[in-house]
Amino acid sequence: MINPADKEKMVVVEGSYAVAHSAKTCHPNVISAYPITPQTHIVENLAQFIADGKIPNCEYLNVESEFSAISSLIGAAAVGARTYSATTSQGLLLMHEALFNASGMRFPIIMTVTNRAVSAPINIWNDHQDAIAQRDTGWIQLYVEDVQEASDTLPQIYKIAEDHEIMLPGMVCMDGYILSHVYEPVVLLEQNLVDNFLPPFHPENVLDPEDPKTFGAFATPDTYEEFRYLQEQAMQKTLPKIEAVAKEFEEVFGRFHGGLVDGYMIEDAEIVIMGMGSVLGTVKDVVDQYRAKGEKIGVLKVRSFRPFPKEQILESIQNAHAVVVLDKNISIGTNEGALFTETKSCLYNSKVRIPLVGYTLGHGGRDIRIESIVKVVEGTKAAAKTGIMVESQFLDLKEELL
Amino acid sequence: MTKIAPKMYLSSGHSGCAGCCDAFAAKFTLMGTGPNCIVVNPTGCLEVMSTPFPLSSWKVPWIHSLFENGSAVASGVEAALKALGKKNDIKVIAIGGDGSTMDIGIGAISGAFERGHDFTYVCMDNEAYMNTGIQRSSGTPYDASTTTSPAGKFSFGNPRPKKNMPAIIAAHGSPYVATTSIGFPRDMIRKVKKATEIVGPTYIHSHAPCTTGWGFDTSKTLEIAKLAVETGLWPMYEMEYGEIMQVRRIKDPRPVEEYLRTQKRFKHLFTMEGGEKEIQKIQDSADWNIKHYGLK
Amino acid sequence: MTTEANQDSTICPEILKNDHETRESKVTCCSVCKPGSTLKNKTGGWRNFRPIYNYEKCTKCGICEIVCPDMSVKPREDGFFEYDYDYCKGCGICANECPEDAIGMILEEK
Repeated sequence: MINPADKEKMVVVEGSYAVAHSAKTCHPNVISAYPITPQTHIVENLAQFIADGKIPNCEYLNVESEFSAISSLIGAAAVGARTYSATTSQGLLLMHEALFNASGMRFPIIMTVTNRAVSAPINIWNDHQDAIAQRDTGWIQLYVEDVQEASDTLPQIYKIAEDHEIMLPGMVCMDGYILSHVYEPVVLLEQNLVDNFLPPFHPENVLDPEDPKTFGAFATPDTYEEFRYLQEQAMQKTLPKIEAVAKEFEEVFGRFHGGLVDGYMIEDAEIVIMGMGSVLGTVKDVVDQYRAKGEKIGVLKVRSFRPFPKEQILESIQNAHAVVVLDKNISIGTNEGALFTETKSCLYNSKVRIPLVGYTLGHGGRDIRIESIVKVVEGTKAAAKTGIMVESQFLDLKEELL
Repeated sequence: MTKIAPKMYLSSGHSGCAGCCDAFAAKFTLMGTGPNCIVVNPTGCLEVMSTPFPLSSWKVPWIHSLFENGSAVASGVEAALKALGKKNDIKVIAIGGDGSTMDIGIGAISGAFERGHDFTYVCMDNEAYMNTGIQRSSGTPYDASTTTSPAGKFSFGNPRPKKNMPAIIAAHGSPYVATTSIGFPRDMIRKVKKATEIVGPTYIHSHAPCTTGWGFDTSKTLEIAKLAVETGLWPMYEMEYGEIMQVRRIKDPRPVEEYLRTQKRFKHLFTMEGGEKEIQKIQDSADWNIKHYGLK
Repeated sequence: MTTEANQDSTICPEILKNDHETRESKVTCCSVCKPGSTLKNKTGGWRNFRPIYNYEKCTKCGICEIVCPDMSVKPREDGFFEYDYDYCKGCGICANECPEDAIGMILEEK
């Protein structure tokens, strides 16, 4: 829903530009950049801002790999810098080892991930496999639905991550091409409002010769488990913080994209479609069609995948007759996508007993058409009536190619 | 010998082996930098022995991230200091072993040197992966027996010569690249100090004999380090923008056999058939160094 | 001779005083450690051979202080040096490097 007050302020820009502009307004001190499609436009725009002197007190590093992109930000964050990078797909996978390191050392590094499929076969189009593969690294993961949200979520995630009780790194996941390369009308974040919303970064511990602390010591079995426990605790504290910060953002900017989850026509919905990212736009169009026919179909957008909002999901779907989960990823060997698996797991020890089915779809950028979503809804309606026939399956498989 | 600054920025109680070469490398590096520095230490013996949580031997700010990213972390530290207006005269140091420097971290080092960060990289080269139990690295010398390049009926040990890392760094246009040795503390301290005073990415490659990995008595660490230099096997020189400006001359080079005999890792050369020929090859490499670097 | 006062003054003195408290140091964010705190590890127990000065031969050149990998050679007011046996691991490098042969290594009686 477009806020009428925003209409006048809207400009048509590429998604990557809106995100780069948003990153700029957050006043990062160190940006590391390595090109990879479809992320590159973000760091190109930031490079131009730097070249034009529009980001004060900021160093822009043209690193030699994504591995060094994240590693340099670990060093920068340890000195007390606010840091930013953007990556996707193979680049994110190359960072994998350092992602654990960044969260284990509790550095609130922020990245935009323009989600893309992973090789092999090599493919540059969108799905969520890259970020889902990082789900256990201890990073906050927020998935966004449109360009405005991709832009608006950056200052939010800085505010969440840099909270002294949290101190975890975070990634804003936006669909590659679909959002990164689309030209849409958006409100570019106003610097004065961001300054008002996002306080400067002042971590408690920094590398400083005046107070020479040691960072990144090794932990024996005597202490290692407690470090993991504290990370989990911080992640649990992130749950209410995400909701609170989304509301604070709304107070300052007048826009709200959901906290941990966001419902659409969900209050009385008998069939709920769950998903993450831009596919929800198509899903909402389908829901509108059903609603026009009087059928009670609703949508649950999962905005926060890490931390995983079990309670909010349960609460949102408890009155449905059946739920279908759409995943642009698959855990090979389970025949399921991650959101489906995790949603099922949060139902188990609860009193909510409803049929849950899953579709893994849109791999490698395959278009998700309205007809396909209709097929999903019809299948879920059948599951609500007669029980589950197939628990999880690929959508739109081309049988003729097999 | 005049007394060198007695202030120590590495403290006692670290768990390095008796006679540890890494402790020397760290001690001498910090004597060269003084307290106004930030140290990045990639994974290795030094990191493990000096920072068992919640304890630390370091009296300067210190960070360990991963094995292969020491230079990338250091470049982030340097960039952040600049951006936050804190750079002033804080020196940024990365100190890593031969494995993290010459093998797994070489991409990150190349990137950091090419980008021209103002930092000093110190490689403490004990010529194998000691932290994991003496495996061959690209710093392992010809014919050294390690656990992954063991001598045997069909092998004299490591079949390849050492990688010439200082030359690789010099090729990046570094304003200052120097080789040194823990056997020459004053030389090492002076070179580290000089490197940190030069603006830009500078490199110190310090030879560091490991009592455990090389197989010699704990009291011989520095003696063997000196022998490596005196035989010509470890030439000590200073390069500015790729040009050799200074070398440490050795008036009367000792035969390499004297050096090789001191260490278990070369023991097979004195017992295996054909060992003499191998020793001659090593002598030839020392002679080449003496000629090439003008050590005499 | 080994006393806490021998230790470098840059080391947080509270580490030595509040032994109990710091030993149970809490696990915190970032695994941050205090500088120079490994002084709690008395590595002197590793020693098999004990270095002993012969002060009559010693010329106060200070090489022993530089060549100690355990920072356990401490300068005295009178210009001579002494060992901090709490930390000396008995590697013998000081005795090996001493140009005046003023350091002996004797077997530790345990």
